[in-house]
Amino acid sequence: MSYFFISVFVPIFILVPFLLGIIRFHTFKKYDKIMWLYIIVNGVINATVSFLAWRGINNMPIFHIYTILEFIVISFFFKSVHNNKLYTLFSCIILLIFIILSVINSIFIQGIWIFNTYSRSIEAVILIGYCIFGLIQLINKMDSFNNSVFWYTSGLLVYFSASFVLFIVANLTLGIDKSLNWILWHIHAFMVFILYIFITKGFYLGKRRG
Amino acid sequence: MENGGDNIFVLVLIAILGSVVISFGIFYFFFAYIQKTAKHRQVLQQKEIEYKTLLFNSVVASQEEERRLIGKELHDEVSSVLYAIRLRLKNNSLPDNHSNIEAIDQIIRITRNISHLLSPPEIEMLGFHDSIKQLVDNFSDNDAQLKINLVDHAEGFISRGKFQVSLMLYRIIQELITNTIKHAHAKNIDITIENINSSLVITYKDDGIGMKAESFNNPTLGVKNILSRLILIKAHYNFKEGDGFHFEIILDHNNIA
Repeated sequence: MSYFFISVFVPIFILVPFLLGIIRFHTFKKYDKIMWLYIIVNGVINATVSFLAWRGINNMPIFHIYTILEFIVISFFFKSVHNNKLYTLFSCIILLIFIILSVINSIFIQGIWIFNTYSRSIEAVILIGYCIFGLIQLINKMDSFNNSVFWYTSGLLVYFSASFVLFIVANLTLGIDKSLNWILWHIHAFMVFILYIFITKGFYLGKRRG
Repeated sequence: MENGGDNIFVLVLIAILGSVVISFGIFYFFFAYIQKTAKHRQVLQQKEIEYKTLLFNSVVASQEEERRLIGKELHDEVSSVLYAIRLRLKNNSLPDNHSNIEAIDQIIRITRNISHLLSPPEIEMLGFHDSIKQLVDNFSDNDAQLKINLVDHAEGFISRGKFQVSLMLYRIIQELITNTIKHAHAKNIDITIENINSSLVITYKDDGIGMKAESFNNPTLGVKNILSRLILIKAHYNFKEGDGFHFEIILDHNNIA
């Protein structure tokens, strides 16, 4: 079975938002910059995962680190969007609890050598909540479609809500059928691709706003 | 792989596809909802702009009307009397002192009326509450058929220094009474001024022929004038259709600049 879409197309496609981010960087606000940082984190993790897989080394520990990094970056993204003391306090507490629980899970519960389904699915639930809250806040704002936050938040919402079930069953499906895994991770890669498109759209708006 | 008759392969696939469909559904819901609210807001904004333009035009029109009246008054009354005095002086006809004094008194009276029309001096001297009493007295003196009952339970709510808001409310009440006299064929007017929850509430009622909500929404120059003044002082209003004319002005204490 071909893995071109997962291992070549989507990882290379990340260069589109990354390069657009460089070009539009001078027009970026704080939350655009954080989203660009998210793209960089994704790119670096993708490259590391691919490199380790190529060398035949188990790359699962990288996903554990990635989950925490991703949660931190997206939490800071929403914090910079809302810029509200109460929200900052709330998201910092959630962030702290999540990091502690993820580390406990990685060391004592699931271990670092398998996919961290617990942390990843809890992360998805919290971030779906953040995204819905963020979009509700945008409903009554002027010109939401020309606001890059709308596209970042929508991209994250679509990605996490679509991948949520996949994160839960990731370990369960391992022994079932190779073709099932192939389909699931292709769906996941497709959702990542959609997320990158939404982020690219947000970066593109950075220019118009500037 | 089978488990209790169910194929896990199929179930997992359905669950994943279901979550993909739901995720796009949620996105579409937000997209469509935001789009709809934006359109709705745009329509409202457009209406608001049109309404404000209408009121602004009415301010300009009434200003012009006021100027026209003052010009007419100056031309017809003051100039003609001055011209008569000039003629007498030119002809050296030395008329009796009495008619000269009478003519000059007439000019003084007219100029006082004009200046009073431009800016009622009692507002500055007496403040809002007392000047409204005087306004009501003036109307009552001039029209014996009409009975105006003024009840002020909020004395001191608008302090004497608040000239702008006092003048606006004075003009509004003046315009309301004038409208009643001109159009309503009313015998009684009740004006109540109250302090309700830190808001000044002025209730104006007459027992005339009343006004339909339809007419109120397509206002005449006088009504437009009232509405634009209300906007200027950030006051709200309630118009009630029914027997007689019933109008309520609500002004929050914080908006008294």
